[in-house]
Amino acid sequence: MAKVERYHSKKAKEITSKTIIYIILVIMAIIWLVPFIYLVIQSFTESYSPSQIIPEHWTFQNYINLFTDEIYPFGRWYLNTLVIAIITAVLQTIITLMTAYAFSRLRFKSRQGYMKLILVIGMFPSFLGMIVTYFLLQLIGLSGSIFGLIVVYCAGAGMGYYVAKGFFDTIPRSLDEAAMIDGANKNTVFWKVILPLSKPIVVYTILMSFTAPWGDYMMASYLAQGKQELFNVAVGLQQMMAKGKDITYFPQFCAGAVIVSIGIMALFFWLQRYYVEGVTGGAVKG
Amino acid sequence: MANIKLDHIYKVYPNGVKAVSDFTMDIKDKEFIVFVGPSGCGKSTTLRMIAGLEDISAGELYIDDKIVNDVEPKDRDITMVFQNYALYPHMTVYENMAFGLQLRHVPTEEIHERVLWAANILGLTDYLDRKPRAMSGGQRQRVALGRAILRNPKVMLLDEPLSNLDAKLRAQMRSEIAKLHQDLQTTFIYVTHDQVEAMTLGTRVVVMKLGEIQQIDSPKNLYDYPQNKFVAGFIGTPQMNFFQATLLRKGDKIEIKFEWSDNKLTVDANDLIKVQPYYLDGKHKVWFGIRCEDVRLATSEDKDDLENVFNVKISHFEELGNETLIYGDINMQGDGFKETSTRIIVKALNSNNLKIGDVVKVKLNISKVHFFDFDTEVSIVPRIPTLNVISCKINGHELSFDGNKLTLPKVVEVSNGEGQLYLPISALSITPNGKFDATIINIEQVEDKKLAYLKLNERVLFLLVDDTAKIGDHVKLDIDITQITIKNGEKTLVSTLKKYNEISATFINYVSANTNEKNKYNPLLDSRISEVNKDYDDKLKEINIKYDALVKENSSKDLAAIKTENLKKIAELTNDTKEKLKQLEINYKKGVADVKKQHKVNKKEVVAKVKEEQEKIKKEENESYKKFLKVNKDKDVYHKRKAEHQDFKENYPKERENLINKAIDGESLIFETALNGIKAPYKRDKKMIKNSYKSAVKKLRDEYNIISVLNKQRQDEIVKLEKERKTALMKAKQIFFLKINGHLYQSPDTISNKMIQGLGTKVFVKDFTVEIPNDKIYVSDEGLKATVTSFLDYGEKKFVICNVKEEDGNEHEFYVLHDSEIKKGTEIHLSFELMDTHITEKSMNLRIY
Repeated sequence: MAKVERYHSKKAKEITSKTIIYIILVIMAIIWLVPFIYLVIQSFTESYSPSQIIPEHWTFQNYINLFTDEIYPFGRWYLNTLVIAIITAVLQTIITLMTAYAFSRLRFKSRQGYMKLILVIGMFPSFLGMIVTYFLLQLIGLSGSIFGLIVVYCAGAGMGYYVAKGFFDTIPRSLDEAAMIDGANKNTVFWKVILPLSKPIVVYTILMSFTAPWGDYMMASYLAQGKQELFNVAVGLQQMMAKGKDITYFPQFCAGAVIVSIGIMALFFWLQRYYVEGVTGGAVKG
Repeated sequence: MANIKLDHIYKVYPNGVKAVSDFTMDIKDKEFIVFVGPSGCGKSTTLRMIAGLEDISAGELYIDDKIVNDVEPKDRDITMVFQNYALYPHMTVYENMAFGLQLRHVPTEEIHERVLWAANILGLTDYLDRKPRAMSGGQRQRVALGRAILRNPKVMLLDEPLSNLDAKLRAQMRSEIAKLHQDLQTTFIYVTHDQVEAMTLGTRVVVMKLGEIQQIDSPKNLYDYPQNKFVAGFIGTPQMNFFQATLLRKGDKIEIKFEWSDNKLTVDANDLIKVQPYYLDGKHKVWFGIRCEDVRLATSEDKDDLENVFNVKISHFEELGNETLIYGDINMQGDGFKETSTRIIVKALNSNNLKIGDVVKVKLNISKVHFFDFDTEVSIVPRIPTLNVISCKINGHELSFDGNKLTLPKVVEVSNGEGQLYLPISALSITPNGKFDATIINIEQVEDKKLAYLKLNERVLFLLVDDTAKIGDHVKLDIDITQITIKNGEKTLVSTLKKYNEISATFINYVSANTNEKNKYNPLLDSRISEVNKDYDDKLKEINIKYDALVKENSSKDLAAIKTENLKKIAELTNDTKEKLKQLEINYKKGVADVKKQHKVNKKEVVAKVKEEQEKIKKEENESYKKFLKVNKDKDVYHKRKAEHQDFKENYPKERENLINKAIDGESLIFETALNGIKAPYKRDKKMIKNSYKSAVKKLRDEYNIISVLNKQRQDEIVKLEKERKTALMKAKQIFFLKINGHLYQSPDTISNKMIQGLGTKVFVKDFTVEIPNDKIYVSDEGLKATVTSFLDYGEKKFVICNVKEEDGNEHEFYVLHDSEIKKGTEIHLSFELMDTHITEKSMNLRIY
């Protein structure tokens, strides 16, 4: 009898605790999601009024305006951002992974020293060097071009080696050694053995190095120096809201924000199937 | 044909740990060498140094007489099998095996052929398109083996390849590896910590401990003639029994007393004839070792022979089925469980009638006993004794031992008294005009040498003989007095003549030497350079002549006609190939679509089946519960059953989900394998078609572009030649000298290589000791300056003793074999060849040459 009763009380306890947890989670989810949903809804409204959450008239015009408006060339900004982000993602991924591989596999003097140094330098906020960066870019003649931004983004790529190094450390060294005996040099080992095994970390690195320039505001606005043709989306959208003393452009701003997030989402959904795939199975003893 | 030579190899880590010390070994072609030892003994490190995965700190590694210390692993022509297989998980079995050949740009057809050959040998033909994760451990190891044999390497290295497998698979793979070695006829080097693998596989086994070689021998010899206590204890299960004992010679008998035990043995001196006499004084402690199969329970027949019988108190039994191991103690107070120096293990057929605590009598097979020194743990019963030790007496210059007399030459300084005469076996020789009469009483074959037992009066002496000697021969024996030593306790009465003369040296390069010697060596350098240049100029001429001849031969052909014809052929070939590729792709796509369709259907089926089964189980449970509710009246039972039902209801969805997932996973693996089965051959065929197309086109083009092809060939050859010339010139310019006592000796290239190989640039700041054998140094007009101090006349051999004063004031005494006497105080010059010497680095005591 007693046993049976205990069973019930345990069950009741479980139910209450779960209910509480779910309630908290739901509340948090709402807090997180509301701004985004609000943004999406507002992007379809004809004219914005703060008191009205659900618009009276739904319209697609904001999206069309975005690409036809002559004051704010959103299409140009989007293209800028896309070019910067793609080139940066490719270069940065390669540099980061190569650095990580070097730190994980090669044993050279000052290896430990470098790793610590990078960790410490990484703790300083990046804007500390902004002015110097600008003068350096001016010296090499890239201060008035979006390629200057690419150089700036890629310059620090090696410093993000940490996560990838951790992953490479888990790949057995004997794979490298087997490949070396098979006739590979370090370069071949990296491209033909290590990278195919590291899809999750490659994807992670691509995503990280794509999103950073995609949403960067500070460095981009500083280097653009107010020239509209050099803006990326973040700077451009901010301009849209800063200049308008009124709120005419708010729905258009919302539409821009939605389009910006679509880019990232597309990339994520395309890459996520590699993200989950466990690929090290069967390498060594299983 | 691959011989490997490891020459004084050391591995020293940056923190100063010596992982491998002074590893010297010659490995002959087709041998199966096993490195065995407890973990941390440096066996894997040695293997990895041979593979090139670890740097060699000092010493040289030769593969086929070429130094490979600085050669990349891939250029050493070796392969390695790893303990954890190290297969590339993202490649199929086929790709795994082909990877090495692909990197070496072997033609695709040949790769295909070789992969199929290896797969056939290892029984992998059906698995070629699987990925490693769809295979079992044994299969994976077989793939790793296949990858290794594929390249037909000079040497196969195996690093504990079986230790990840279970016991049954291990035994099976062991015999497969043995078979592989028989079939392939290459050199195998195998590392293991398992002595069973070592004994069963190896033609020779290297036993290692703490980075040092303990013994290199055949498995049989390791078992029968261990050179030290470690090897004796390591080889053989259960372990050898070790007791501490002392030996005392009493006339023809030897009495063996044991520590902490009343047991005593008295054996014939002839049974222990090779035991060095030094230990037979009843004072020196030795280890007495005997294997458990050489100990047996005494039977009634042994009752009267009480001499070789032991009392043992039984502590416990280990039943093995076909036999029983009886654990006991020769100390009646001991417990026999711990590994002490009184524990004994006895092999018996059964333990009938025996109880724990019984005291039984056991008999030892005395001829199978091993003795080791107590401190050094080295065997004191060597197979070939290096020393004969005899008690002797010196009176005046007369040495008497065992009734024999020998007059020592006047030059030997002796003090009178009694002592031990140490006669190395190299000091004994059989010559027609020898001074002593002796009889050969036995000849024992030890490896490739013959050891003779020689009876001289009452004593038995050992020496090595050739094939002419026979048992029973009466021979004349001669003793080389220069090699004898006489000791009285710690005091040395007569010592062996020094065989090597030591002097210190430094190593310097050409530029420093030339500057110091005022450009004395310029002509030497010039001649070396011009020699190389002449050699290569000749080769260059040859290439040009060959080219001219070929051009002349081809210029008569009608190249334009060939061109039109070949272009036509190329066009045809292109069309053909396109067609082929198209067909291939169509087939491939169809195959993939089929497999995908099949997979969809199968998945549905599998899931449906699981669902159906689960549905049935649910239904059954529900029905039985309903029935129970109807029938049952007991409240207690009702609650219990209700709880059970609740449990079922709660767990049912989870379980169902799990089973479905499992079924889908299984089906996915089948699908993946099937897909690979289509994908991999498709990729392969496509590549093969493309490659054969490319090579065919190239051949056709070359035919009409023959002149430019020939020219390109010539250019390539010239570039290669110039590269070679450059390295040869660089080598020619590398001249080194050994500076000995102010004199410069040009170091032969072999010595220079070893010095630089072993020490790197540090070689120029180190001090070396040069040892010159006393029969390879000559009195001549120039060379080391020395002052004669005395003259030794041993009759047949005469030595000049002289003093060599070094620049820093150190004096060295040199013994020089010389025919005639030189007056004391005369200044002489000594010359020698560096190739005859030994060179050792002083501070680390590294033997270099």
